[in-house]
Amino acid sequence: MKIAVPVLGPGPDLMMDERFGRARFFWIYDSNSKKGEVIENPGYSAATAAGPAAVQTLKDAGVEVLLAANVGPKARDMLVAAKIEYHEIEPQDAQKAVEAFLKSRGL
Amino acid sequence: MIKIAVASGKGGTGKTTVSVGLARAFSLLGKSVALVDCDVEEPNCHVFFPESRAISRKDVISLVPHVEEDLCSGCRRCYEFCHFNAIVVFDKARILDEFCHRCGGCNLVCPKGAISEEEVRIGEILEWEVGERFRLREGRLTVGQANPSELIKETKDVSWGEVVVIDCPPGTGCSVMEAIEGVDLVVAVVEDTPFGVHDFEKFLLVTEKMALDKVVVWNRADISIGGITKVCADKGIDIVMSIPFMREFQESYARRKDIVSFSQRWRDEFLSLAKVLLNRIEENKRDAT
Repeated sequence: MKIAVPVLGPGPDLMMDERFGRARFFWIYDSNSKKGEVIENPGYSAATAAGPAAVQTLKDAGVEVLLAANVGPKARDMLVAAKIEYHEIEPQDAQKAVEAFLKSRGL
Repeated sequence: MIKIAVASGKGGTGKTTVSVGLARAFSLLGKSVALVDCDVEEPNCHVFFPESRAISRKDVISLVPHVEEDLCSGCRRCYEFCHFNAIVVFDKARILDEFCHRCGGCNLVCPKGAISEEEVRIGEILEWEVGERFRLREGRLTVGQANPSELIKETKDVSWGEVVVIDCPPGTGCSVMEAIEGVDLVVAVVEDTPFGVHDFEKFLLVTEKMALDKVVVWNRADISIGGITKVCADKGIDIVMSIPFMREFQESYARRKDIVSFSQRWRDEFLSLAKVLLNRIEENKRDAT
Protein backbone atom coordinates (compact mmCIF):
# COMPACT_ATOMS: atom_id res chain seq x y z
CA MET A 1 0.00 0.00 0.00
CA LYS A 2 1.28 3.47 -0.93
CA ILE A 3 0.70 6.26 1.56
CA ALA A 4 1.27 9.94 0.68
CA VAL A 5 2.02 12.83 3.04
CA PRO A 6 2.53 16.46 1.94
CA VAL A 7 5.95 17.61 3.21
CA LEU A 8 7.80 20.91 3.39
CA GLY A 9 11.13 19.81 1.93
CA PRO A 10 12.67 17.07 -0.23
CA GLY A 11 14.21 15.40 2.86
CA PRO A 12 15.90 14.11 4.91
CA ASP A 13 13.64 16.05 7.34
CA LEU A 14 10.10 15.07 6.52
CA MET A 15 7.95 17.61 8.32
CA MET A 16 4.37 17.74 7.11
CA ASP A 17 3.23 20.73 5.08
CA GLU A 18 -0.05 21.99 6.53
CA ARG A 19 -1.38 22.49 3.03
CA PHE A 20 -2.28 19.73 0.62
CA GLY A 21 -2.90 21.12 -2.89
CA ARG A 22 -0.27 23.81 -2.52
CA ALA A 23 2.33 21.67 -0.75
CA ARG A 24 5.73 21.73 -2.39
CA PHE A 25 6.44 18.01 -2.12
CA PHE A 26 4.81 14.68 -1.33
CA TRP A 27 6.51 11.90 0.53
CA ILE A 28 5.20 8.58 -0.73
CA TYR A 29 5.84 5.52 1.40
CA ASP A 30 5.31 2.03 0.07
CA SER A 31 4.45 -0.33 2.94
CA ASN A 32 5.20 -3.39 0.83
CA SER A 33 8.75 -2.46 -0.17
CA LYS A 34 9.17 -0.37 3.03
CA LYS A 35 10.70 2.39 0.93
CA GLY A 36 9.79 6.03 0.66
CA GLU A 37 10.41 8.63 -2.02
CA VAL A 38 9.77 12.37 -2.32
CA ILE A 39 8.09 13.72 -5.44
CA GLU A 40 7.36 17.31 -6.41
CA ASN A 41 3.77 18.48 -6.45
CA PRO A 42 2.98 20.26 -9.72
CA GLY A 43 -0.06 21.78 -7.99
CA TYR A 44 2.35 23.90 -5.94
CA SER A 45 2.66 26.44 -8.75
CA ALA A 46 -0.60 25.81 -10.60
CA ALA A 47 -2.59 28.96 -11.32
CA THR A 48 -5.86 27.24 -10.55
CA ALA A 49 -7.18 23.90 -9.34
CA ALA A 50 -4.09 22.98 -7.32
CA GLY A 51 -6.09 20.50 -5.23
CA PRO A 52 -7.44 18.44 -8.15
CA ALA A 53 -4.00 18.54 -9.84
CA ALA A 54 -2.41 17.21 -6.65
CA VAL A 55 -4.96 14.39 -6.47
CA GLN A 56 -4.18 13.49 -10.08
CA THR A 57 -0.47 13.31 -9.20
CA LEU A 58 -1.15 10.98 -6.28
CA LYS A 59 -3.48 8.78 -8.33
CA ASP A 60 -0.87 8.51 -11.09
CA ALA A 61 1.72 7.50 -8.48
CA GLY A 62 -0.56 4.68 -7.30
CA VAL A 63 -1.28 6.22 -3.90
CA GLU A 64 -4.13 4.64 -1.92
CA VAL A 65 -4.00 6.63 1.32
CA LEU A 66 -3.36 10.32 2.01
CA LEU A 67 -2.46 11.69 5.44
CA ALA A 68 -2.76 15.50 5.44
CA ALA A 69 -3.38 18.33 7.86
CA ASN A 70 -5.97 20.16 5.74
CA VAL A 71 -7.76 19.03 2.63
CA GLY A 72 -9.77 21.63 0.72
CA PRO A 73 -13.35 20.97 -0.42
CA LYS A 74 -12.44 20.57 -4.11
CA ALA A 75 -9.55 18.24 -3.34
CA ARG A 76 -11.87 16.26 -1.08
CA ASP A 77 -14.35 15.66 -3.92
CA MET A 78 -11.50 14.58 -6.16
CA LEU A 79 -10.08 12.19 -3.54
CA VAL A 80 -13.46 10.52 -3.28
CA ALA A 81 -13.72 10.29 -7.09
CA ALA A 82 -10.19 8.87 -7.30
CA LYS A 83 -11.00 6.41 -4.50
CA ILE A 84 -8.08 7.59 -2.38
CA GLU A 85 -8.70 7.19 1.33
CA TYR A 86 -7.71 10.30 3.30
CA HIS A 87 -7.29 11.30 6.93
CA GLU A 88 -6.87 14.77 8.33
CA ILE A 89 -4.33 14.72 11.17
CA GLU A 90 -2.23 17.10 13.25
CA PRO A 91 0.89 18.36 11.41
CA GLN A 92 3.84 16.22 12.52
CA ASP A 93 6.82 14.28 11.28
CA ALA A 94 5.61 12.41 8.19
CA GLN A 95 7.38 9.17 9.09
CA LYS A 96 5.77 9.12 12.54
CA ALA A 97 2.37 9.81 10.99
CA VAL A 98 2.75 6.89 8.60
CA GLU A 99 4.01 4.59 11.38
CA ALA A 100 0.99 5.49 13.51
CA PHE A 101 -1.35 4.93 10.60
CA LEU A 102 0.12 1.49 9.78
CA LYS A 103 -0.01 0.51 13.43
CA SER A 104 -3.70 1.45 13.60
CA ARG A 105 -4.23 -0.97 10.70
CA GLY A 106 -2.23 -3.69 12.42
CA LEU A 107 0.50 -3.49 9.77
CA MET B 1 -15.23 55.21 -31.65
CA ILE B 2 -12.83 55.56 -28.76
CA LYS B 3 -12.76 53.18 -25.82
CA ILE B 4 -11.67 54.04 -22.30
CA ALA B 5 -11.43 51.41 -19.56
CA VAL B 6 -11.74 52.45 -15.93
CA ALA B 7 -9.94 49.84 -13.83
CA SER B 8 -8.12 49.59 -10.54
CA GLY B 9 -6.35 46.54 -9.25
CA LYS B 10 -7.72 46.90 -5.74
CA GLY B 11 -11.48 46.83 -5.30
CA GLY B 12 -13.49 49.68 -3.87
CA THR B 13 -11.21 52.47 -5.07
CA GLY B 14 -13.91 54.36 -6.98
CA LYS B 15 -14.08 52.83 -10.46
CA THR B 16 -17.81 53.20 -10.76
CA THR B 17 -17.80 56.78 -9.45
CA VAL B 18 -15.20 57.73 -12.05
CA SER B 19 -16.81 55.72 -14.87
CA VAL B 20 -20.21 57.26 -14.32
CA GLY B 21 -18.75 60.77 -13.90
CA LEU B 22 -16.69 60.42 -17.07
CA ALA B 23 -19.58 59.06 -19.10
CA ARG B 24 -21.75 61.97 -18.01
CA ALA B 25 -18.97 64.44 -18.80
CA PHE B 26 -18.46 63.07 -22.33
CA SER B 27 -22.18 63.32 -22.83
CA LEU B 28 -22.14 66.97 -21.74
CA LEU B 29 -19.35 67.55 -24.26
CA GLY B 30 -21.80 66.49 -26.96
CA LYS B 31 -20.45 63.00 -27.59
CA SER B 32 -22.71 59.99 -27.96
CA VAL B 33 -21.72 57.80 -25.04
CA ALA B 34 -22.01 54.12 -24.21
CA LEU B 35 -21.28 53.39 -20.57
CA VAL B 36 -20.51 49.67 -20.34
CA ASP B 37 -20.61 47.95 -16.97
CA CYS B 38 -18.22 45.00 -17.25
CA ASP B 39 -18.06 44.41 -13.50
CA VAL B 40 -20.42 41.54 -14.26
CA GLU B 41 -20.25 39.89 -10.86
CA GLU B 42 -21.73 42.94 -9.22
CA PRO B 43 -22.70 45.57 -11.78
CA ASN B 44 -23.95 48.78 -10.21
CA CYS B 45 -23.68 51.64 -12.71
CA HIS B 46 -27.45 51.35 -13.18
CA VAL B 47 -27.91 52.59 -9.62
CA PHE B 48 -27.09 56.09 -10.85
CA PHE B 49 -29.68 56.14 -13.60
CA PRO B 50 -33.05 55.42 -11.96
CA GLU B 51 -34.93 57.26 -14.69
CA SER B 52 -33.40 55.47 -17.65
CA ARG B 53 -35.53 53.43 -20.04
CA ALA B 54 -34.83 49.72 -20.60
CA ILE B 55 -34.36 49.02 -24.31
CA SER B 56 -33.06 45.47 -24.59
CA ARG B 57 -32.13 42.28 -22.81
CA LYS B 58 -30.49 39.14 -24.14
CA ASP B 59 -29.16 35.90 -22.73
CA VAL B 60 -25.51 34.98 -23.15
CA ILE B 61 -24.94 31.31 -23.79
CA SER B 62 -21.74 29.36 -23.34
CA LEU B 63 -20.77 25.87 -24.40
CA VAL B 64 -19.81 23.66 -21.47
CA PRO B 65 -18.00 20.40 -22.20
CA HIS B 66 -19.21 17.00 -20.94
CA VAL B 67 -17.56 13.60 -21.08
CA GLU B 68 -19.49 10.68 -22.54
CA GLU B 69 -18.05 8.01 -20.22
CA ASP B 70 -18.87 5.08 -22.48
CA LEU B 71 -16.78 6.58 -25.27
CA CYS B 72 -13.84 7.80 -23.14
CA SER B 73 -10.77 5.57 -23.37
CA GLY B 74 -8.84 7.45 -20.67
CA CYS B 75 -6.09 8.39 -23.13
CA ARG B 76 -5.44 11.68 -21.26
CA ARG B 77 -5.07 13.85 -24.33
CA CYS B 78 -7.67 16.30 -23.04
CA TYR B 79 -5.94 16.31 -19.64
CA GLU B 80 -2.60 17.12 -21.24
CA PHE B 81 -4.15 19.84 -23.36
CA CYS B 82 -6.01 21.69 -20.60
CA HIS B 83 -3.99 24.61 -19.21
CA PHE B 84 -6.33 25.22 -16.32
CA ASN B 85 -6.24 21.83 -14.57
CA ALA B 86 -9.93 21.62 -15.33
CA ILE B 87 -9.67 17.94 -16.29
CA VAL B 88 -8.63 14.98 -14.19
CA VAL B 89 -8.44 11.40 -15.44
CA PHE B 90 -9.10 8.55 -13.02
CA ASP B 91 -9.69 5.79 -15.62
CA LYS B 92 -12.12 8.14 -17.40
CA ALA B 93 -11.79 11.88 -18.00
CA ARG B 94 -13.76 14.15 -15.71
CA ILE B 95 -14.26 17.86 -16.35
CA LEU B 96 -14.25 20.26 -13.41
CA ASP B 97 -16.72 22.85 -14.56
CA GLU B 98 -15.68 25.62 -12.19
CA PHE B 99 -12.14 25.68 -13.58
CA CYS B 100 -13.10 25.31 -17.24
CA HIS B 101 -12.46 28.37 -19.42
CA ARG B 102 -14.64 27.01 -22.26
CA CYS B 103 -11.83 27.05 -24.80
CA GLY B 104 -13.23 23.95 -26.50
CA GLY B 105 -9.76 22.41 -26.77
CA CYS B 106 -10.66 19.14 -25.04
CA ASN B 107 -13.36 18.55 -27.61
CA LEU B 108 -10.91 19.17 -30.47
CA VAL B 109 -8.17 16.86 -29.19
CA CYS B 110 -10.39 13.95 -28.13
CA PRO B 111 -9.76 11.10 -30.62
CA LYS B 112 -12.93 9.24 -29.57
CA GLY B 113 -15.45 12.05 -29.88
CA ALA B 114 -16.26 11.46 -26.22
CA ILE B 115 -16.66 15.15 -25.39
CA SER B 116 -19.85 16.97 -26.21
CA GLU B 117 -20.73 20.58 -25.49
CA GLU B 118 -23.91 21.65 -23.82
CA GLU B 119 -25.42 25.15 -23.88
CA VAL B 120 -25.50 26.92 -20.53
CA ARG B 121 -26.81 30.40 -19.83
CA ILE B 122 -23.91 32.23 -18.20
CA GLY B 123 -25.50 35.63 -17.96
CA GLU B 124 -27.42 38.39 -19.64
CA ILE B 125 -26.78 41.76 -21.20
CA LEU B 126 -29.15 44.63 -20.52
CA GLU B 127 -29.33 48.02 -22.19
CA TRP B 128 -30.94 51.25 -21.10
CA GLU B 129 -31.37 54.62 -22.70
CA VAL B 130 -30.16 57.24 -20.24
CA GLY B 131 -30.55 60.14 -22.67
CA GLU B 132 -31.02 60.55 -26.37
CA ARG B 133 -27.32 60.00 -27.02
CA PHE B 134 -26.34 58.21 -23.82
CA ARG B 135 -26.78 54.49 -23.28
CA LEU B 136 -25.93 52.15 -20.46
CA ARG B 137 -25.08 48.52 -21.21
CA GLU B 138 -24.59 46.01 -18.42
CA GLY B 139 -23.40 42.42 -18.22
CA ARG B 140 -24.90 40.38 -15.40
CA LEU B 141 -23.32 37.03 -14.55
CA THR B 142 -25.64 34.18 -13.60
CA VAL B 143 -25.25 33.33 -9.92
CA GLY B 144 -23.06 30.24 -9.58
CA GLN B 145 -21.07 30.83 -12.77
CA ALA B 146 -17.36 31.10 -12.06
CA ASN B 147 -15.87 32.43 -15.30
CA PRO B 148 -17.00 35.89 -16.35
CA SER B 149 -14.59 36.41 -19.27
CA GLU B 150 -16.91 35.27 -22.05
CA LEU B 151 -19.72 37.45 -20.77
CA ILE B 152 -17.38 40.45 -20.45
CA LYS B 153 -16.24 39.97 -24.02
CA GLU B 154 -19.80 40.12 -25.29
CA THR B 155 -20.79 42.96 -23.00
CA LYS B 156 -18.02 45.20 -24.28
CA ASP B 157 -18.76 44.38 -27.88
CA VAL B 158 -20.65 47.63 -28.51
CA SER B 159 -21.52 48.92 -31.92
CA TRP B 160 -22.89 52.27 -30.78
CA GLY B 161 -21.32 55.44 -29.34
CA GLU B 162 -18.54 57.88 -30.14
CA VAL B 163 -17.08 57.29 -26.70
CA VAL B 164 -17.28 53.98 -24.84
CA VAL B 165 -16.51 54.03 -21.12
CA ILE B 166 -15.93 50.57 -19.64
CA ASP B 167 -16.34 50.07 -15.89
CA CYS B 168 -14.02 47.11 -15.24
CA PRO B 169 -14.06 44.42 -12.57
CA PRO B 170 -11.38 44.78 -9.87
CA GLY B 171 -8.21 42.71 -9.76
CA THR B 172 -5.59 41.69 -12.29
CA GLY B 173 -7.00 38.39 -13.53
CA CYS B 174 -8.57 37.10 -16.72
CA SER B 175 -11.75 39.14 -16.36
CA VAL B 176 -9.84 42.43 -16.10
CA MET B 177 -7.61 41.55 -19.03
CA GLU B 178 -10.70 40.79 -21.08
CA ALA B 179 -12.26 44.12 -20.07
CA ILE B 180 -9.24 46.29 -20.93
CA GLU B 181 -8.12 44.42 -24.04
CA GLY B 182 -8.07 46.66 -27.10
CA VAL B 183 -9.02 49.94 -25.39
CA ASP B 184 -7.43 53.26 -26.34
CA LEU B 185 -6.69 54.25 -22.76
CA VAL B 186 -6.83 52.77 -19.27
CA VAL B 187 -7.81 55.02 -16.37
CA ALA B 188 -6.50 53.42 -13.18
CA VAL B 189 -8.39 54.57 -10.10
CA VAL B 190 -6.08 54.14 -7.14
CA GLU B 191 -5.78 54.85 -3.45
CA ASP B 192 -2.57 55.40 -1.56
CA THR B 193 -2.75 52.69 1.10
CA PRO B 194 -0.31 49.76 1.41
CA PHE B 195 -2.89 47.42 -0.10
CA GLY B 196 -3.78 49.99 -2.78
CA VAL B 197 -0.17 50.54 -3.85
CA HIS B 198 0.53 46.80 -3.91
CA ASP B 199 -2.45 46.10 -6.17
CA PHE B 200 -1.69 49.11 -8.35
CA GLU B 201 1.80 47.78 -9.04
CA LYS B 202 0.37 44.38 -9.94
CA PHE B 203 -2.12 46.10 -12.21
CA LEU B 204 0.68 48.02 -13.94
CA LEU B 205 2.38 44.72 -14.81
CA VAL B 206 -0.77 43.77 -16.69
CA THR B 207 -1.06 47.07 -18.61
CA GLU B 208 2.65 46.95 -19.45
CA LYS B 209 2.39 43.42 -20.75
CA MET B 210 -0.65 44.41 -22.82
CA ALA B 211 1.11 47.59 -24.01
CA LEU B 212 -1.79 49.84 -23.04
CA ASP B 213 -1.51 53.57 -22.39
CA LYS B 214 -2.69 54.53 -18.92
CA VAL B 215 -3.31 57.47 -16.62
CA VAL B 216 -4.09 57.60 -12.91
CA VAL B 217 -7.01 59.05 -11.00
CA TRP B 218 -5.95 59.25 -7.37
CA ASN B 219 -8.93 58.81 -5.09
CA ARG B 220 -9.05 59.71 -1.39
CA ALA B 221 -5.92 61.68 -2.21
CA ASP B 222 -5.70 63.28 1.21
CA ILE B 223 -4.84 59.85 2.62
CA SER B 224 -1.29 59.06 1.57
CA ILE B 225 1.67 56.85 2.36
CA GLY B 226 3.65 58.36 -0.51
CA GLY B 227 3.46 55.17 -2.58
CA ILE B 228 1.31 56.22 -5.52
CA THR B 229 3.26 59.41 -6.26
CA LYS B 230 6.51 57.47 -6.13
CA VAL B 231 5.35 54.68 -8.43
CA CYS B 232 3.88 57.21 -10.88
CA ALA B 233 7.06 59.32 -10.85
CA ASP B 234 9.30 56.27 -11.33
CA LYS B 235 7.25 54.99 -14.23
CA GLY B 236 6.35 58.35 -15.77
CA ILE B 237 2.62 57.87 -15.30
CA ASP B 238 0.42 60.99 -15.28
CA ILE B 239 -1.91 61.58 -12.35
CA VAL B 240 -4.74 63.31 -14.18
CA MET B 241 -7.10 63.86 -11.25
CA SER B 242 -6.97 63.82 -7.46
CA ILE B 243 -10.15 63.35 -5.51
CA PRO B 244 -10.07 64.09 -1.76
CA PHE B 245 -12.13 62.09 0.73
CA MET B 246 -15.27 64.22 0.50
CA ARG B 247 -18.79 64.04 1.82
CA GLU B 248 -20.17 65.14 -1.57
CA PHE B 249 -19.36 61.76 -3.09
CA GLN B 250 -21.15 59.80 -0.40
CA GLU B 251 -24.12 62.15 -0.70
CA SER B 252 -24.34 61.75 -4.44
CA TYR B 253 -24.24 57.98 -4.04
CA ALA B 254 -26.97 58.05 -1.41
CA ARG B 255 -29.16 60.15 -3.74
CA ARG B 256 -28.46 57.89 -6.73
CA LYS B 257 -26.89 60.77 -8.63
CA ASP B 258 -23.67 60.75 -10.55
CA ILE B 259 -21.15 63.20 -9.14
CA VAL B 260 -21.20 65.35 -12.29
CA SER B 261 -24.93 65.97 -12.04
CA PHE B 262 -24.69 66.44 -8.28
CA SER B 263 -21.83 68.90 -7.86
CA GLN B 264 -20.86 71.97 -9.85
CA ARG B 265 -17.24 71.69 -8.77
CA TRP B 266 -16.96 68.06 -9.85
CA ARG B 267 -18.88 68.71 -13.03
CA ASP B 268 -16.09 71.15 -13.99
CA GLU B 269 -13.38 68.75 -12.85
CA PHE B 270 -14.78 65.82 -14.82
CA LEU B 271 -15.35 67.98 -17.91
CA SER B 272 -11.70 68.99 -17.94
CA LEU B 273 -10.65 65.39 -17.27
CA ALA B 274 -12.76 64.22 -20.21
CA LYS B 275 -11.06 66.77 -22.45
CA VAL B 276 -7.61 65.73 -21.23
CA LEU B 277 -8.37 62.11 -22.04
CA LEU B 278 -9.77 62.91 -25.49
CA ASN B 279 -6.67 64.96 -26.34
CA ARG B 280 -4.37 62.27 -25.12
CA ILE B 281 -6.06 59.58 -27.19
CA GLU B 282 -6.03 61.83 -30.24
CA GLU B 283 -2.32 62.50 -29.77
CA ASN B 284 -1.59 58.80 -29.37
CA LYS B 285 -3.46 58.08 -32.58
CA ARG B 286 -1.60 60.85 -34.40
CA ASP B 287 1.75 59.54 -33.14
CA ALA B 288 0.89 56.04 -34.29
CA THR B 289 0.26 57.10 -37.88
